[in-house]
This record gives sequence, C-alpha cells and structure tokens, in this order.
Amino acid sequence: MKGKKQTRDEDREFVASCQAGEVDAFEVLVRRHQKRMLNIAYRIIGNYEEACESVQDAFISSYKNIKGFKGEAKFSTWLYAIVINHSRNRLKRLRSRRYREAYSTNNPIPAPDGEIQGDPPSNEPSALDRLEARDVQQKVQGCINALNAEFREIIILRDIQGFSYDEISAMLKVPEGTVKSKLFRAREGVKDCLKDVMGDL
Amino acid sequence: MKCSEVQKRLSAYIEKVLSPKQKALIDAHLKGCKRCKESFADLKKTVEYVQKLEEVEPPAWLTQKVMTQVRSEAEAKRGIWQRLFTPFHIKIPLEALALLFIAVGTIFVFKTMQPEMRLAQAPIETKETAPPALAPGKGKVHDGAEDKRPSAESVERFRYADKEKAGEEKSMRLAKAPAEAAKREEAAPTVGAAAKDEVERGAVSSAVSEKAVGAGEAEAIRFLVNVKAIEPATQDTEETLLKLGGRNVKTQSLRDRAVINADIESRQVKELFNQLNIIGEVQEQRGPMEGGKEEVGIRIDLEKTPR
Repeated sequence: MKGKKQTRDEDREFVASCQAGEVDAFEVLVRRHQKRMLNIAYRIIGNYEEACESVQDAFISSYKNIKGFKGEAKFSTWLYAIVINHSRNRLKRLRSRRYREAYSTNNPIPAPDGEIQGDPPSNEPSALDRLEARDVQQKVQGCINALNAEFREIIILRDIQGFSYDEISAMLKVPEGTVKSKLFRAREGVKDCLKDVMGDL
Repeated sequence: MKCSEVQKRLSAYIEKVLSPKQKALIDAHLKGCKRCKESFADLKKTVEYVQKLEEVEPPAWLTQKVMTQVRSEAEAKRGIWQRLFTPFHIKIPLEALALLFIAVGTIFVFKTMQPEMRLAQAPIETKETAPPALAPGKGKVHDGAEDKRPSAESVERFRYADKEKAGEEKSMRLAKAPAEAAKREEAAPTVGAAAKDEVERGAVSSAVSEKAVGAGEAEAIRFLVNVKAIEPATQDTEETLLKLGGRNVKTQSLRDRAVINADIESRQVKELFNQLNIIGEVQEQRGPMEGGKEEVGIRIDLEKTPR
C-alpha cells in the first residue's frame, strides 16, 4: 500500500454518486481506503481498537460532510485529513484520561498482525526473530508516540505511509517547508529515543 | 562544512533532496568525520526501522460497521416528512398532491356548474305547480296583462323583472311551489326578508318561479345583449341605467353572463336600447319601446359572445 496513489478519477465517480445520495457507492470508498486510514490511525494512536473506532468516526463524519467535498484536493487526501484529525483528538482524550502513558514497555501495544501464524516458510524469520522484530516494532511505535503530535503525524505520513511532501502539506494544512523541517526533527527525535531504549541501533 | 551544518542536513541527504553541490560537500565530510558518519548511520537506521513498521489489517467487520452507521445516518437525513411515508417516501407525497388537485378541481367545477345545474332541475320541480300559481298573481301591479303574456319561454326570461315587483305575491304563488321553497317564503314573510330571499334564490335558482310569473310581467322589458367581456359591460350597463334614471338596479353576475334588473321610465327604454347597442350587440328585445313616465321593469341579460 505504501506509496500507492489513488488516481483522481477512481474515487471521483463514487464520490459523485455519494453526493447524489447513493449510499452504496460509499461502501466502495470505505473498502478502498479503510486499510490505509486504519494504519494512519493506528500509528497515531498506538492502539488497534482505538484506531478502528477512529476510522469509523472518520468515515461517518466524512459521509456527513461529503457534499462539502468540492474536489480541490484528491478525495483520499481529504479523507485522510479527517482520520488524522479524529485520531489526534482521540489520542488527546485518551491521554487526558491517563488511559495511556507516553511510552511504556510494560504496556505492549496489541498488534494482531504480530501473532505467530502457523509454521512459517523456511525463508521467513525464525520465531525468535519474530519476537525480536515485534519487540523492536513496539519500541519504534513507542518512540513515535513519544513525539509531539505535529512531528508524529509527519513522520507517519512520510516514512510509514510514503506520502509526498505536497500531499502531507495538503492533509495537515501546513506549508511544504514546514513539513520538511518537522520531518527531519521528528526523525532526530525518534533516533534519540530509540538509542535510549535500545542502547545501540 | 561544519559538523552542525552537516547534522542539520542529514535528513535531507537521506531524502536525496539536496542539490548535487551540497550532496558532494556532505559526502566529503562524512568520509572524514567519524561522529557525523555515526549520526548518519543512526538516522538511516531509524528511518529504516520506522519504514519497516508492519501494516495492520482492518478487521473484517469494519466495513459493515461503518456502512450500518452510514445507512442509518442517511435514513435520518431524509427528514421527518419522508420518514412518515416510509417505505413509500417517493409515491405518497405525489399522491397526496394529486388528491389535493382533484379536490380543488372538483370544488371549482362544482362552483361554476352549480347555477346551471339548478337551472336545469328547477323547471322540473315547478312545472306542475306553476299554473295554479298564476291566479293569485293577479290583481297586483303587473296584472291585467295576462292576454299579452308572451310565450312560456319569454315569461321565463322575464322572471327577474317580475320578481322585484311581485315580491309580495310570491309567498302566495310559492305556496303551491315545491315545499322547500314555500317554507322559506313563509318563514320570511316580510318584504325585507322576501327581498333577501329573492337575491339568494335569484342567483342560484332562476327557474323556481318562472312559470309562476303572472301575465302582468308582459310589461317588463327584456334585452339580451352579447358582449365581449362581462365585467366591463356590466359596469357600463349599470352606469347607463343610472344615467337614465333607473332605480332598483340589481346585478347578478354568473360566469359568462350577468343579469341586471332595474326599473326605469318607459320613455327611456329606447335610449337604453341605443346605449346597449353601444355596449354590445342586442340580440333580442322584447316589450314596448315607447312609453311615458310610468316605470317599467327592465331585465338585461348580458352574455359573453359565443365563439
């Protein structure tokens, strides 16, 4: 999914149908974008269940406001901006409830994808490697979560999701220059954090 | 290039967004500076770690859950009016509208048809009872002219003129008319009430007493005038009547026709005839055109020129 871009027309047709009141057309858009939206939400919030909730909320509110989408940007950009907003607010609420600490290795992030699934093919990493990889992943996620929201979102959109600078700039509504400088600082932040928690990179 | 400057640009260096010149400077610096080289390696590793974060799969129920909510949202959006008519939210309002049109149309048609319908019915009601009513009509103002009485048809036309003068006779005449009409007359025997009744009945049931009209009405004068438009012609006629000293000018407007009754001096009849010919086309004229100072009842029927 990384770096893959929806072409303008692919969504436009279904968006127009939705705007005309065809609810079924929205299902196509949901199926098309839910995975990427979930991944964005998941990396922002750091919790799978909460991320799912956030994606649902984002879809509902995008449906409610779909008539307001005039097509200045790509529909996906508009949609992802909504899920980013929802995820950001959800995380804020969760944190204010002290639901989640900034980062704690004792509180592993549920990651169903990390479960061991049957016998891996021989060319796959061993179970031990898997566990280690999972541990690393949790640490990386923890370090991302430790960043301030503005930096966290940019590193997620750029390094995880592979969006271009101008797409990120459109989603977050900040100038491209700001995106770049924040990205670099975000990377430095994650680097320092990882050095702390892993000792050596 | 200083270490601090290099450090600042390492991220851009990884991104490969630096100018070739700056890239060359950093390449050169990294070769000679161990600290910066380490920093670069760490940063590169960090980016790799972040990029290697695994994707998560959305749960299977996510689409369905979203769509369920979206559908209920769409339902709510449809608004209370349409929800009232679920599941016929498209048809029912149209049907309601159609029903309304039919209702309004029916009322309209009925209103315009009413006088004609009554006209058609009334003679049947009165046919048999009318002849005996002639007798009591005698002895009044217009009596004595029985021999001059024109055909039944023209008597019918003179009815209005008669009625004004013969208001008081009516209760007697109508006593033999249909019970309903008779009752009304008896209940309101005074002149005022009778007159009121006359207007009411005159507008809707012109024929009730038509055949009951006595011979005296032969003196009444009648004009049938074809005009282009009823309303202005009605006004003109009324004005003319007043100018000629007409009294008791009464107008009954129906659709496409109007009936004006008045009393004028019979010597003015000719002038009236002339005036009416200006207003429209006098199709028919009955009654004497010459006369003296005595008053005669005039009935003018204005009818829209048939196409």
